[in-house]
Amino acid sequence: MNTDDPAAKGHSPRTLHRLGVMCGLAAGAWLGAAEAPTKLVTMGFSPFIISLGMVTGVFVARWTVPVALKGTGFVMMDLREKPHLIVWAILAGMLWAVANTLTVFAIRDVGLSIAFPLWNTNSLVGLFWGWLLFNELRGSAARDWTKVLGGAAAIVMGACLLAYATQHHSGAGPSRATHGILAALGAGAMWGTMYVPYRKAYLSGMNPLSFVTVFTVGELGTTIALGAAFHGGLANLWLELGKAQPAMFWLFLGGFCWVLGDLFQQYAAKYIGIGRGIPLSNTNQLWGLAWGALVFGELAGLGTNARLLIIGGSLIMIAGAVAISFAEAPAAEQASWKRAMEHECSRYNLNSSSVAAVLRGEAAFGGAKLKRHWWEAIIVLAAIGIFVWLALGATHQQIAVSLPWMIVLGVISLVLLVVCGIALWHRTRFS
Amino acid sequence: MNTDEMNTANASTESAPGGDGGRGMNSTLKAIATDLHFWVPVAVLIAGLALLFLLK
Repeated sequence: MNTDDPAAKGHSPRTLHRLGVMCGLAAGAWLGAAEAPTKLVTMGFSPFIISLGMVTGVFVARWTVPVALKGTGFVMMDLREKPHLIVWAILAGMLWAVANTLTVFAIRDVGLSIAFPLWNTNSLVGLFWGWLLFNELRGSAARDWTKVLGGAAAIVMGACLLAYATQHHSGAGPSRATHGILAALGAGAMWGTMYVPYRKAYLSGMNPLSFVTVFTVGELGTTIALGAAFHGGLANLWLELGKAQPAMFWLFLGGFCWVLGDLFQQYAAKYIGIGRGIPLSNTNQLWGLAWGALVFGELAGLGTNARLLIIGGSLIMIAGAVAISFAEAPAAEQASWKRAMEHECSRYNLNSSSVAAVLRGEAAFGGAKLKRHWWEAIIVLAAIGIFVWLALGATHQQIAVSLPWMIVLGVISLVLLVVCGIALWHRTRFS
Repeated sequence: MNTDEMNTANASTESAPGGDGGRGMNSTLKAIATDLHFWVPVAVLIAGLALLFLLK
């Protein structure tokens, strides 16, 4: 048996496709679950403060999970080997933060029902950039194009139906409505473009855990800068943040769930590309809806028409996800991906055989065991300490929840986390 | 000429950024600055910031 054969090592394109699809679906579940803790924040803080609280929690988690899984030595070596990607990761974080702020304006001006489907077009934007810049879908048959494009369009359409059925129209005037639509479309374009750095990093062999460690610097820095700009300076922002401390635990918890979902999304982007990975992770709306409806009883007052729309939208979204799940990249498209990878290696003088190995899910740096350091335990303990400290000061929120459904959805999310986590570890060692 | 070919053409006219050990900061920055892929998100970021302050 040829031990260099990727298929012989269990890293055939098919197994990696399955792994990427699993990661995309787990991303949807955890990104959707991230909405649950934030629903507990009912104190009426400004959206900027809620966003900043969550992003701060995200920052803590993004520095802790990579350290716990791979260690600082691995992350530093990865960054030293591909220093050009530091700029890309910060750029992606900045794009995320500006897009997130635009959604605040969009919701204010047109309401979530109109804004959400507009910015959910980010998957189509990502699909376009994946095709144009990274050769995704090139060499694929019409059947694969139909599955991916049709699946992505179905997920956007399902999102439109769900948003329409679950929200009320804002009744904003024409001028504000135009502003809101522009803001939502801008957010979609920015989030869709944010996947350009993602794919760039993974075609260069960077580990998703290293990428997010830098990404979050751009994310938090830009969120603080924008928060200060819209709250009359840093001092005011700090003051407002202090007032929100009783709710901060829930925001941090939402941020932590979001980081888990985002990590799965990063692995999906790595193993099946952004054209397939991002629409799959956009099924998060379905999970957000499940948490809202089953745990928080948000849809209790809806009529039959709205319920039918929700069922229809959910089924369309599931059909879109199924179509993409079966759209494995054929050999010709895999060859196009390889050309895109070789282009990155040529431009940035990377070792193409080791990058190709990492893209097949093999361990980076030839599988070398890197030394773990004592301060990694301190980083993890400090993060746990922050969560415990915030939990001790958290205020009990007066909101009715269904405990049985919370347990059911929580268990499903945990099962997905464990199954996908084990699959990633088993096949790739979180490569 | 597609974007891939344009990037490859750009890359071929400049010195490589350097290997694992000898990568120069200048050549890395030059490789980034001449990478068409880089300017796509930068342009979108600038447009997004402009839109944000316009809507403020």
